Amino acid sequence: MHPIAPSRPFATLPATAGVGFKPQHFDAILADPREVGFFEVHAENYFGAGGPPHRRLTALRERFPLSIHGVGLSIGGAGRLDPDHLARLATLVARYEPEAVSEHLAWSSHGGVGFPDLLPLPLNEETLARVVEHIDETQEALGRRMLLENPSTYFRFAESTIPEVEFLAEVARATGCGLLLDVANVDVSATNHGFDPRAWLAAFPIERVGEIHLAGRFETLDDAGLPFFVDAHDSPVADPVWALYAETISRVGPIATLIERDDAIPDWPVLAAEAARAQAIIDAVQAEGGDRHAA
Amino acid sequence: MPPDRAIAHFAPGQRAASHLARQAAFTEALLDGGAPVPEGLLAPGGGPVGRRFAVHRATTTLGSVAALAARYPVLERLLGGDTFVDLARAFLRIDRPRTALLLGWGDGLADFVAVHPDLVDWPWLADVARLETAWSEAHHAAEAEPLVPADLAAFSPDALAAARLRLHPSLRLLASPWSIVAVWAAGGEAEGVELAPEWAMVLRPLADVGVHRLDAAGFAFVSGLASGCPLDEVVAAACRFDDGFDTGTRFVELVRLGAVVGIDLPHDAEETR
Repeated sequence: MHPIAPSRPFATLPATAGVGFKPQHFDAILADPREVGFFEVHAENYFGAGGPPHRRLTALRERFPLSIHGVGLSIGGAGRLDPDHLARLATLVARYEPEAVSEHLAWSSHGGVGFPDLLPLPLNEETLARVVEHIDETQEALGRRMLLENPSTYFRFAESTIPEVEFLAEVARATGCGLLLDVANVDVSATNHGFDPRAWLAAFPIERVGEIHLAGRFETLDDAGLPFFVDAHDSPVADPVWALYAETISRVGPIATLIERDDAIPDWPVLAAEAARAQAIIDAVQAEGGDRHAA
Repeated sequence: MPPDRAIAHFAPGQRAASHLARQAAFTEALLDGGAPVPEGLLAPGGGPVGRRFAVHRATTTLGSVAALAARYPVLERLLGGDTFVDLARAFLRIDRPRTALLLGWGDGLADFVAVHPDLVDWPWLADVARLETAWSEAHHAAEAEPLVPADLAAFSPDALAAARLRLHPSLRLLASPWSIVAVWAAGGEAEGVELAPEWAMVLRPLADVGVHRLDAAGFAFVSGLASGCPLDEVVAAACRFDDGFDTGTRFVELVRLGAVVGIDLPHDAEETR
């Protein structure tokens, strides 16, 4: 039996467009509170005790719904979760009571060395069991359900035996967690592995999605000259990703959607305009069909 | 290695296929840029994965370098971007983050700079880095409401003499034989650095971190208070550096800056905040 009540929703973000918060945009956001539905922050940037980061987040949280997105818990790691990291995440979540808490299907530390990256893991029975344990432990520590994000990957592992969609669906089923659908990651992985992103999305358990991510990628070639996309978050969302996104929400209804930009960060109006583009797609879907079909 | 051999090598159930062994091999290949790409990684059509794996090598290294640059912006400006990146890469060979949490990582950079053979002609750089460490710690320190000068009216001078002060959790002190506060204040654009001792107090009572220049007596005064000594003992220490040390003015100034969050009177007497 799972300790987290399955009747509670995966996340309670409004089905609107949000933006990843960057401190340099703080004054512009407060001076020009245009229609942005929510903000998301990386949990680890707020693991300090106080100071300007928390002052800004407190002010933001008073005005907007909030998503806390962890990038370093190492849920896909072979070892046990770092109890200090988990405790600090739980403290942050208790302090700000965000509408969504999410983390990645990835690992980022091993044997006392940490990496500022989301490293991939093989998908098989062994890693499935470990990820389920880690999410159970996380949800217990947080006292709520979390969302797990589908990764962008650059190669496959010879020892993988479970398709990614099945792996994510089974983790969600076993733990009761929700999912964060990163449409840009789907397109990156589809390109890198040569699969059809639409088939992936059709098989994905969309009814468990509490939030969508959209971001830009860097397009290059691999050693063999094959198209190779890097999940760089340093540019606008690419048109094929907008198309996949629009198709997805017109099929299932509006879902809270975040514009992510973590490098080469433009001025606030540029990001706000990207969010407005997502909002326009949401509004069009809402005008056509009303509420989300699967929830 | 052709992919069929890779698959055989990592067949399910074999020890080499374990997630832990996979992570260990990955870690080794990420830490040593010259190491071969781990086995058993597949690209479509069984092609080579060198460029694909290289993204993780670049991200992990550049992410750590960027974290250091964000924490040591003045040092970066003093050294120049390329030199700073070289320094950061060299530092990464001896000091990696312990976890993916980079907040607060990099304290060892100042000591690394201090003994770096290429930097012996710029001996003040290490203290500039230490000042930036202090700034970063103050930036993220816990909140505490500072006293204001009017709060002092509640205390008699005699009671204060034996009092111990609780200082703001963001307060950091740093002494250097070099004019590092001037270098820091110029954002790394200063023309020259003088062999002139400076005593710095870093403090963030409200939203913004301030770097204040103290004199030797003031430094002795605040250091003594920070280590929990009673006021009269601390004043005696400060007077050894400046026999005209004006306790009243210095104390009120410290409170005015927001450095004091509480005053503990000896045993039975009452306590504020």
